[in-house]
Amino acid sequence: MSAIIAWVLAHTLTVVLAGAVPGAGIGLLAFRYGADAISWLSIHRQDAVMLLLAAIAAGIYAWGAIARHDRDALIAWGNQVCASAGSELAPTKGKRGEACATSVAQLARDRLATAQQSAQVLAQAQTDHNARETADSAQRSTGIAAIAGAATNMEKVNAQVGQDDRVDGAWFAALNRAGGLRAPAR
Amino acid sequence: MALGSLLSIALAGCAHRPAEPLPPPPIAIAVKDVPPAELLACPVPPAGFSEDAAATIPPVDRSAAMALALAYAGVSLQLVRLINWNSPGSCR
Repeated sequence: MSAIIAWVLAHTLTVVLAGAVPGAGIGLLAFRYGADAISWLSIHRQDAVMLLLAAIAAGIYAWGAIARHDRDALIAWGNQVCASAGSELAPTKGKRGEACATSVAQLARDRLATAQQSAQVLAQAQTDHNARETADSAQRSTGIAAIAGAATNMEKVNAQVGQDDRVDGAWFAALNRAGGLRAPAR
Repeated sequence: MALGSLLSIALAGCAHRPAEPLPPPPIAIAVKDVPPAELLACPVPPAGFSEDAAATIPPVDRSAAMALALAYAGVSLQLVRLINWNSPGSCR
């Protein structure tokens, strides 16, 4: 809010001063000399012209001061921006701002490229992960089904062992299958 | 006029608020972290029991043998899945 008030005040002041100062001069002249203002002016023409020239000179000086202030502020800002970009606004060699503009543009390009490449890497990682998950899920199902089948078979064969605890080739074959062992060397 | 202009320059900074800076984009780099070859070797099952033999084994030992065989099968499957997860299509 205070920023808005300051902005309005600053701009209004400019207009008011620009209008009020010459206006007051003309008003004073008209009030003091009335209809004779013109003849007064023709008598004091040289003074009036000098006054006008002085006013114009003061205006030009003020304008120049503003321009110099703007330029200095811009150069300071430029130095700051270029230093941030790891460059110089006015290097000893080359045109002012050229190297700085190049490095700022390079930074912007790098940033974009980094973001794009990062997105690609992340997307590829997600795709790879999904492929792994699918493949593993399939292998898990078939593997677990095979083990479960072998375990059921093992239980069935084991249940057929008699009271004498004698186990034969069928029991060992079921055991080999349950463990996924290689066929024995003969 | 000059005073007003100077004031407007001096106070111009108050009129505009700087925009919020963009957050830096995330930087992602693909890192291939390859484990030692020894860890990626597919398990080779040992030779099983001879299937033309016969023996007398008490129930407790039969249960232990069966549990051992099934545990080996389960661990083998897990290891094969882990290796395939790391380097797809390596085992079986």
